[in-house]
This record gives sequence, structure tokens and C-alpha cells, in this order.
Amino acid sequence: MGPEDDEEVPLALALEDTGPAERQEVEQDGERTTVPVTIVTGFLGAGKTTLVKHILTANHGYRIAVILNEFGEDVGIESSFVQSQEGLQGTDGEWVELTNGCMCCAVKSDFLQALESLLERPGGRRFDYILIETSGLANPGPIATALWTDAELESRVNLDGVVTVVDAVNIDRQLHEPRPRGAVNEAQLQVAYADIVLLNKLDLVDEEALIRSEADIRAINSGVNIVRTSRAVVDLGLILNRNGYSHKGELVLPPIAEADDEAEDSGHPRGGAGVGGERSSTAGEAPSLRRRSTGVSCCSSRAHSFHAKSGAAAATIAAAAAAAVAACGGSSAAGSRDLSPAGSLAPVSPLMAAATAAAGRFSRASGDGASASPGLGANAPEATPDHVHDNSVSTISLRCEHPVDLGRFKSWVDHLLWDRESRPDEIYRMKGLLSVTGSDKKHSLQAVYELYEIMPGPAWQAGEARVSRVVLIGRNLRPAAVKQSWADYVDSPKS
Amino acid sequence: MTAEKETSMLPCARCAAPAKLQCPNCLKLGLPKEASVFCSQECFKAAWPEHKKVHSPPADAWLFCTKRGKARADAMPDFEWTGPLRPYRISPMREIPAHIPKPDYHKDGYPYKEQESRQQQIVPIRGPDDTAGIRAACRIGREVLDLAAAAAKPGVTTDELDRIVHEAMIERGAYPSPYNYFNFPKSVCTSINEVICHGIPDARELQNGDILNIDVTAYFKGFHGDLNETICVGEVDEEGKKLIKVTHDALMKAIAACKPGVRYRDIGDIITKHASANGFQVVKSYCGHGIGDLFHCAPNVPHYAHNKAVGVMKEGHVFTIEPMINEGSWRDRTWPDGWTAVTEDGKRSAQFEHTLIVTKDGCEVLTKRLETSPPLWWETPAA
Repeated sequence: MGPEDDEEVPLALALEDTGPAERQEVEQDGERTTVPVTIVTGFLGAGKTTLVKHILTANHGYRIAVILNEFGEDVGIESSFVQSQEGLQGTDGEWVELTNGCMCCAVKSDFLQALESLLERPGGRRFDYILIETSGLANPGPIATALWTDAELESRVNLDGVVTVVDAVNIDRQLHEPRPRGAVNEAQLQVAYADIVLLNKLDLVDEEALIRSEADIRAINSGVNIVRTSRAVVDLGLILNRNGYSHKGELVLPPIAEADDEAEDSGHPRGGAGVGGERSSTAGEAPSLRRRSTGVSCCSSRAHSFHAKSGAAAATIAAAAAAAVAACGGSSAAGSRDLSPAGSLAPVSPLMAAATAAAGRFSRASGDGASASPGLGANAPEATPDHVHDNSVSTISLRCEHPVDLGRFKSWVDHLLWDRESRPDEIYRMKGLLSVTGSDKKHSLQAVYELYEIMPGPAWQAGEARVSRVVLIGRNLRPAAVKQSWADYVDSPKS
Repeated sequence: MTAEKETSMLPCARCAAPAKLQCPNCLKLGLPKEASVFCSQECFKAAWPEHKKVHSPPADAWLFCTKRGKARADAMPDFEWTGPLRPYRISPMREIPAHIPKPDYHKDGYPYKEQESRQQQIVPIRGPDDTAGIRAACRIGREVLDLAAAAAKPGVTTDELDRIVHEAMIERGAYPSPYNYFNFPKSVCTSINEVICHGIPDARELQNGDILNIDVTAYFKGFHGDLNETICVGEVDEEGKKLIKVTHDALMKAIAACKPGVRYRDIGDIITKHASANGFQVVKSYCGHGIGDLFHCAPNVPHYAHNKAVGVMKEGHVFTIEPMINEGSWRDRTWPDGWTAVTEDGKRSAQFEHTLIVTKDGCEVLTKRLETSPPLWWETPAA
């Protein structure tokens, strides 16, 4: 609306016909199907774009919209969309401007509203899948959190899963690189939030490096499915339609007994596990008494080959610990034992993805110095100082043999997820399977940074051990403190 | 079906031949197509001296708001209106004197401080100084809302209510918080009948039977105070009155439950229970919010049940609860102005809002009604 008096006549544009004819076509499309969204993340150069291209060109029958988030590094994704007028590229390369909804006091984030409005417009209606490719330094958490909406909102857009592409050549270094002022390492976050990891550039590394990479990954995200790929070529059935965040409380977990049997079979005493049999594994942690207590010798030459092709690849906690040992360079991976990995949680379980990102965003905002958690230092006399700082994202697994009181359990989760200011530890994700007092149904727990949901699912089968298991992934976790709060809130005799 | 889609071809704005081109400036400004299409570049060029005037209308023109307040149009935009209400033209933006302290977004519409603040993630705990500041802003908001409510009668335009609010704020040394917040063009939100929230004051006269929500926020000495009420314009039918009272009561029930230790996500359960019991549905797209030195910050307080709102109330938390409750469906649409939210089915919606602070064993309503506040429809008017 500036001074146009002296302006030359601009060139008029071709008129697009968006008249009544198209509107009729739109009105006939009565079906309101939900559209899954998969977040593709991964560090710089890991192969995200290659994967996206592979998906777009493969013959899967989906009409996929791809969203590129170029500005996710230091700015929350909502801001990047508000400030930069991000575009959307359809499969035919057409750029579509995303419109924003009302920002103030809106329940749905701008980003989600933009996605929904995309699907409403005439050009957008043909899309039945959305891929979001984050930038290399992105924290996938805020994106996942924004898309993990309450079922009540009946959003057309549904978070389906987080795929993390990992550069097998560089991931070891990337995961161990410290950040200034103790900020969280983005590569760790991206692994922590993954529902499935594509360990890419298979053709450029040897087996030893692959095993080390897998160990690093498992130390952060013990239950994730790792698929080895070359040039990001992967069976799309593993990536798309994982149905990771369904509101129906369906959660497929492997039999809990398997994970325990692994540790037992290894013949090492558990020792030191204390109340509730807690185990933990941390990437970068040097051999320690704790690791021995989970049944793995620090000099073990046991290395595990994780199946690339099968959909059921997940490590036991003990195996993860072993992998972590190997990651420290404790031994060369001479010999390998082919395990059919039984996981603490099945890789196809969709829970984990969202939590990590939001946490990372928070930690970036806070910029607190992250010192090694005191717990690790105290219990690992042989810990190498530099490792303790580098890889501070770790996993803790908890169990309870008797049914839990749901109210107290929720209070425990509230405490872990929401009382962040006074504690150095940050929980990114939680997932779990609960046996709840007074209920015959298995309850699933999903937590993504600050959001969590506990949903009843299928009934316990006769003969199934009704054990509650919870896995936490976070940063600066203090296993002793977590164990104690678990004991106080959940696993005390009177509950 | 005929091969040529002639019925969908617009005529050239100058010579009425079938139009094939459109003015790029009009497209950018989102101006209506009818006045911006031409049959050829030659026709466009010939029409240009007159045509270009639509891009920069006179400063005192009343126009339709578009693009969330960033632009104006000389014709009512196209839309599948869900109910009888339509947008009217809005007056030019009012002046704010230099001596009134202004929030950062007054300059270009974007609330930088708010968007970048850590208060979006962490709920601030307000100390005594902040609390006094917020209380003062809330008091001003209450006084100004009462003035606007008293003036809302059949025949009065919502633009007139905006003028009253705007001038009353300035008189008190306050800034009307909505003004230029993300380019909102006015100083108050006026939401009539099927409008859920964020209605823009315009040239429409209030009609007997309208239900009207007036949403006022004051920015005073660095703090915001936010409240709204739905009132009857003239004589309102029984169903409308019921909707208003149920919404009010749902808010009061939610407020009664607020105290340290209560989870924010429980508020939605309380409100929804009361609304459902009376056959109404709760709007899900908009929520209550933290407020203080920023207009909107943490926490988020959804009004629907089974939500995943984060956090637990603590002494010193300041936030609003502002349920919007509908006669029919909970779903909403947004008008072409980018602000006005309406019910999907065109049925009416009511809302009430208070700003609260959590105290040691409960909460205090900082925007509470005064003895002098105009009575709500079920209250006996002062003698």
C-alpha cells in the first residue's frame, strides 16, 4: 500500500481458474481420512534428503507432501514457520505457501494448523501422507510434541513416527562431541527420539565401525529398531505407517521375561541391582561395577549383530551394556554372536519419538551447564572423565513386580516430567507397560518431553506375568535418584 | 458437462470480455478477484491509473479486514459463511498518544519479547511487586469492560464500543493490549452470536436478541490484565440466556477448584462436565493462558476434557481460564479476516474469562466484578 503513483504498470499474471467447478469437486470429497506424518531427522549429511528422495520416487501408491524445515536449528519450529513463510513441496515440485492460524491462545501450534490447512485447500486434498524433513541440527522433539495432539481435537494430521538417519561413518564422533556451555548434543537427541534408526552409509564402513555405531545408538535408545542401509534404501513398510502414536492404547511389547532371561543366561550374577532390578546403560561410560552387575564382562568380546532386514531388531539391556563397553573401545569385536534380539520394547512401538525433541529445545533455552550426573561419577570409579561429559543421554529401565496404583504412578510421572527447574536431569521420553491395581487391562505409558498419556489397552492374558516395566531416556540421568523416586512413588510395598 | 467452463470465467474489469489475467498487486494484497482481472495486458494498462487506487485506499476509508489485519479490501471477501453474521467494514486504526507506554508489538505487530521468552516453557511465579502490577492492570480491564458493557444496546455499533474501550484505556494511562497484537486492528474483541472469539469491531449495529462477548485486556505499567463477559443485547431468547449462564457457571466451577497442587489438565474436565450436562459442547481450539508482563505465556489451560496440559498449579502462578461454549458443534472455522472464529454450524457461542492468581490455599480472581459492574442477566439490577 505504498506510493504507487509513479509506478509502471506491472505485468498481469495468468488467471488461474479456481471457480465453482473445482469447488464442487471439493465438496463431493466427503471422506475425512487422517493423514499420517513421519518426521525424518538425522545429523548433517546423514542421508535424510536421500531418504526423502527415495521415498518420493518409490512406487508405494501414496501421494506424499514433503515439508522441509530449514530453520529448525536454533529456533523453535513454530517460530520458523511464522517468520520465514516456509513452503511446502508437493511431489510434483510445486511450492505451496502455508497459511497460519491464530497464534494467541490457540491450542494447536501454528505448525499443526498450517499442515491442516494445507490438507484442506484444493491442491492439498490429494495428499495422504506427510513427511517432514528436519534440518541437520534440529531437535525433533518440539515438532513431534506439536503433532502429538490430544485425541479430543480430532486432528486430521496424526504423528506416525520419527525416523532418524544416522551416518555410520561419523556418528561415533558426532555423538561424542561436546557442545558449548553444556548444551545437549543434537545427534544424541535425534537418536533418543527415534522410533527407527537407519544406520546409513553401510557401503562406506567396516563391520567394526557398524557395531560400534549400533552400540552407541543402543546406549541412548535401548529399544530402537536399527536398520542398516546403503544410500538410504530401505523397505518403506518399516518407515511409513508405523502407527506409532495411535490413541487406542495399543502397544506391542515383547514378553518382558525375555529381557530378563538374557541377563540370567549369561551366567553373571545381577548384584547391586537392588530394589526392582534396575538396569542402566550409558554410552561413553567406562567399564564399571554397574556394568558387571548386568552380566557383561568389561572385556567381553561378545558383539551382537543386529539384523538389518528383520523388523524385530531390538537389543536387550544387557546387550546394550555390552555394546556400550565395546563403544568405549574396551575390546575389539572379535567374534560375533548372532542374537535374535528380544527387546525391552518392540521397535515398532511408536511411543518414543516425540519426547526427546522438546527436551532438547528446553535445554537449549536454559543453557544450563550440564555437568556429569553425580550418580555416574560416584558409582563408576573407573569412569573416563571425557566420556562422562560427551554422551550424557542415557537410558534407565525400571520394573515392578506387583500392580501399581495409577494415581501415584501419575504423580511420579508428573514429578519426573514437570519438576525440571531444580534438577539437572532431563527426561526426554518414557515408555512403559503397566499392570494397574484394579484393572485387567495392560496400560501403556507414552511420554514425550512434558506430554504424557496413559491408555488402557488389551487385557492381560492368562498366564502372563503381570509385571510393570518403564524405560526412561534422558540426559544427566541420576540412576540412584530415579530408582529412589520409583521406589517411593510406585514400588513401595503398600501401593 | 460443456467443454468450456464459461460460467467460471470472470469478465474483464474494464471491458467485460472474458478475463485471462490478474493484477499481481491485488493478488498479493488478497483483494477480491472481480475488480482485479483483465482480458489482456493492454486493457490492464489502460485501466491502471484508476485501478491502482484500490491498492492504496484513502486513509479515512472504512474497509474489510483481510490477512489477519495486515491488509484491507474494498469488497466483502468470499467465504462459506456458517451462520447469518457477516463482517462489516472497520474504521481506520485509532491513534494512541505518545505518552502511553506501549508493548513491543505496537511497532510492527510482532510480539518479539513474548515469542522468545522462556515464559513459554516455564510458568513464572509472581512475587509481590509483579502481583501488584498485574492486579492494577486487571482492575483497569474490569473498569473498562464495565463501561463497554453498559453501552452495548441495540443500534450501537461494535466500532462504537471499540471507541469507548480505546478512549477509556488512554484516559487511565493504559494501552489496549489487543491493538496491533499480530496486527489485530482494534482495541477490543467483540464476538456476536456464532462468533466464538476474536471478533473485530466494525460498522454493524447491535441487534435486539444478540448475545455479545466483550473481551478486554489492559496493558498498564508493564503488566497485562485480561477478562471477558457475554451479555444480552436487548431481549435474548431462553436458549441464549441458558448458554450464557452455563458458560459463566462452568468458569466459576473451574475457578473454585484452583489451588496449589491441582493439575492444569483437570480444569478442562470440570468445564466439559458442566457444559455436557447442559447439552452444550466446549470449543477446543482456544485455551486459557498464562499472563503477566507478557500477554500470553505458559501455562496452556485447555477447556476440553482428557487433555495433556502440562504442569501443576503453584502459589504465584497467574493465568486465565476462558471457556467458550457452543450450542451446537465444538468445531470452529476462521473468517477471511484471519481472526474471527465462528462455529462450524452457525449456532451461537458464549464465553467468560477471568485472570487468576494461585494463592496459598486457593486462588484470587484479579478481574472480579465490582459493585458497580452492570448486572449479568440473572442478577437483580441495582435499585
